[in-house]
Amino acid sequence: MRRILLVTFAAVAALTMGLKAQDVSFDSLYKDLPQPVAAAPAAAPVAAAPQGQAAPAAEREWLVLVFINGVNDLGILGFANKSINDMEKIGSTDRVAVVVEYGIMGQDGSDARNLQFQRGSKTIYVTRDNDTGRITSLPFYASNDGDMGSAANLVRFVKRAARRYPARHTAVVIWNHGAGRLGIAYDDVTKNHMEIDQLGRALGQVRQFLGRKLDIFATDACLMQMAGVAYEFKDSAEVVVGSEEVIPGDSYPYDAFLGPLAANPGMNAEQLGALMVDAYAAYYSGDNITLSALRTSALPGFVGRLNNWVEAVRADPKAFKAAASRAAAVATQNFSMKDSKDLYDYLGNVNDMLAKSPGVKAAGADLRDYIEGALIIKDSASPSLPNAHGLAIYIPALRYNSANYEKLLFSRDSLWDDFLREAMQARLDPNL
Amino acid sequence: MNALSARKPVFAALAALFLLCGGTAFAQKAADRLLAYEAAISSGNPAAAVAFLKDREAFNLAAADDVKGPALLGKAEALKDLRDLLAMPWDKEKANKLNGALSIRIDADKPLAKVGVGPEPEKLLLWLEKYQPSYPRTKKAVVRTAIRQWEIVFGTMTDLREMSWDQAKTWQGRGVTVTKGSWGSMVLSERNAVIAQLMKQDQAFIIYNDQVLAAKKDSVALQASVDKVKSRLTPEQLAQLSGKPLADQAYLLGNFFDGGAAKGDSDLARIHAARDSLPKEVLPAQQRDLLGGMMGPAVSKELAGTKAGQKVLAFYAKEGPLRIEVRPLDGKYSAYDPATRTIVLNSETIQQYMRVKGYTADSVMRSPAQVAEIAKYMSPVVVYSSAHHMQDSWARKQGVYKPHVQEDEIEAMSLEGLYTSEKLRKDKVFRNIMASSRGFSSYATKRVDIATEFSASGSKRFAVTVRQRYFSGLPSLDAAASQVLGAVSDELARRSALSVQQRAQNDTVNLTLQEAMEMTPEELAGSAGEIRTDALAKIERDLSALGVYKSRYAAAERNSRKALKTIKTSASAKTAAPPAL
Repeated sequence: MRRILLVTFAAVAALTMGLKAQDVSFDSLYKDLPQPVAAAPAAAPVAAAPQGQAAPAAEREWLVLVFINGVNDLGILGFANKSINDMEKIGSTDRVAVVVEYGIMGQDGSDARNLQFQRGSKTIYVTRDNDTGRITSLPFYASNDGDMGSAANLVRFVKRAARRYPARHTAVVIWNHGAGRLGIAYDDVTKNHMEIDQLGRALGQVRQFLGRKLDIFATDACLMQMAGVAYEFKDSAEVVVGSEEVIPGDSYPYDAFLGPLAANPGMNAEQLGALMVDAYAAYYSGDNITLSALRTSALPGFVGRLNNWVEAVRADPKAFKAAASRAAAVATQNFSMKDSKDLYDYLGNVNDMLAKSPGVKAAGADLRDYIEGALIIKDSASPSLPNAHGLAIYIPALRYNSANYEKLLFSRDSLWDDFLREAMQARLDPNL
Repeated sequence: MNALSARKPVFAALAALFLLCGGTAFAQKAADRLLAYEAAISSGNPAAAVAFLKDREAFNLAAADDVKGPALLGKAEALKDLRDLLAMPWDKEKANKLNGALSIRIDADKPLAKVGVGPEPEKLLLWLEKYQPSYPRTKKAVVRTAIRQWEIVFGTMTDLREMSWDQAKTWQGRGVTVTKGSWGSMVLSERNAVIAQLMKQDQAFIIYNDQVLAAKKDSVALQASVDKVKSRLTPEQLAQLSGKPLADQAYLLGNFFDGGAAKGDSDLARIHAARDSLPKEVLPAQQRDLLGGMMGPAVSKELAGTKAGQKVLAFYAKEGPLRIEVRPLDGKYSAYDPATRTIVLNSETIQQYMRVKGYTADSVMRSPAQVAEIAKYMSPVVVYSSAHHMQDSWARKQGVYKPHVQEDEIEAMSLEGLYTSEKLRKDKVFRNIMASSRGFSSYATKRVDIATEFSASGSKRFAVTVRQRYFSGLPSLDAAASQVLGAVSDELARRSALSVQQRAQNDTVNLTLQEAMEMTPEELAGSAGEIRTDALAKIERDLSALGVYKSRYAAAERNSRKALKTIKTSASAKTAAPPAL
């Protein structure tokens, strides 16, 4: 498992933030890190001077944009190069344009593995090749700034590509470390990253620029498929693709879904989202993985049903005691970030703990049905994660992280934060 | 000793030209002087840069050339800025601050690199030897630490360091190696990235990060307080704490000693200040909205009757109501949001105050007195952020590109300092709140420090304090202008080789003026290649006329100083400085 939050975050941020950050045990996430199976050598990126700029081309069916932040250990380990080379196996077509913004740090490929910094970022129009070891697509833009942890940089990338390669459908993928509700896209040189509310505002700007929602917003980064995270993008993307669990070093198998997309560019957002999930599940059949695609138009209905459940639980002391208990949380499928738990599984566990409480049981069942039938378009989890159902939610063990969670739109619009505070208040009772 | 008096001219010709201004050398034709300036500035001569910026005739002559003029101006501003930066009093305690300041100036594609200062940091040492040879050895030692010279960081006994980089672990054979040679070609942000990784592996490296050092110190102090307070616990309470991390222990102690506030107990105050909020102490969205609504009038009441406050109130009387929002702000105490023209107060700062005072979200909602107290506590940063609102409003009216620079912060902190120093003198309740909060709150400590520094030091010294202590990582106006001008002039020069048709074609996909105006100097400099030509030209014009910005900053400075003088000489004020807390 490699796409997990940096030791930088664990050690430095924990120190700098003192007690303000929840104590996510990041160190424990590293124990089972496998080496990449077939990592391409981290070749020095193509020298990039701004090329002659293309005029807007004819409208394609799809524009697939991948923002690759390899300015960290992932770059050194060769994963960023590997992903771009996977895309180059397919390349762009006259119906599908694949454009990548990348910043990568790495090593020189010698036995000594001398550290190398790329400096700045490059934007490439991905072209097909048979060389899986080198990035051969030519940059059409190079930025000296290249802060890969900057949401503003992400927005500029989308504008840059969308103006040159207009398309009827647009997908944006962020490739990097993820930490769920705590953020994504950690750049080790600028020390910047994107907080979820920042990213939400950035995607709002993208929507304004495009004049419509993104068709797909995907996170090729660990632990991002959480209710509070997805809700931030409800007005900016039609489909949100992400993983409840960590994502292995090899990342999304880009060729495995870009190939079918190139063959059938007429597919819609939900079809492509489902294809991404299927391709991922097939690629990682033996690993502990999850991936899901969810329909953002169903998020308001989801929040409405979640609120119904919270109201029902509040009105039923026995049900509240069960829902707030450590036992319910402990029994629930959790992921590498321990306070991120599968919501569907949690609701089932609470229901199982209740002898009566018909209102709560009905609200829980309704919400589970809605998650499965309306919200989740497609989800996949390894047999080793049988209780992962495509959507995680924040359930802390003891302390509610108001500095982070109160920033999210989800906390404003749902009653989940209210429930968590009440549950955490109950947890202060040592007898519960 | 300032930079100019310390400087020993190296080249006789340059000395004649630039140091004997007003003499015969200066009487040369402007065109000749411009040629000499160009040559000297290209070699990194700061005195030539300063002389050029003052020589209106040569300056105007340079400006007549749309391509070369801004490029020369950018280099000159960069050299002047570097000279001013290093002229400040740097000691070893401030080495990390200087590192931050140099990191944003000495880098690839920055104007200083074009005049031989960078991108390799060691070039700064050569520049110092050449142009500032009389700087004391101690200052040069601080510079060596600030640029993370290999020998300082790794010692003289090795030329190689093997290291892990998070999941790229040396023990698995997939770590990396840093050599003295490669270190020499790294820019400062890259060196800092390496050091940040080493910090995780070796505590000795934390001396290179002030934040980490301070957090470590706070953590040690918190641990000591937690240990002391544990002696008052029952066996059942101790059992609850057993085996828990420090953060959990502090949180649970907050629950055990909840409701009664700290009541003068410094250990409890530290614990309450450092811990997470209990659920009942969290301000949820609806209550934050209500509190924000109540804060506007409550803060206005605080501001009334003070010099700085009157200025703020007059601004809002003219430009719309004072709107305040309360929400988490990622570690900042306050911010001005230009999109909504609202001042945002950090709910976490307010919650910290509530924890120490024993207030809950519900009690605050029910008590006008508690709201008024919070308004009093937060009022200094409302003044501070109002200054940013005024700056934004000015830029909108002027229609100029407005980078966020140190001068903005000097102005905002001056206004805040003026306000706080007057409140400390006149408002006993305010004084008591700040006095009782300083022990546990970095927020309150900073407010009082700023007031004291503003009141006790002159404008230049205060400006140096702001630049060094608080905003070393932010560019000065000169630095921002130089970096943008350098990049823009390079890009415009590149485009001048294109046909009109090519330029027009590119501009159809480039970023618009509005998009460019929202960018930071760093972003603008890095993205000049994708901004429309007319937008680049507009920004270049704006930043070639820094007098427009500087006269505004100077006027704000004069007003604050004049007001301070009035406060100090008023009948109610007996001392020159705010009362000691």
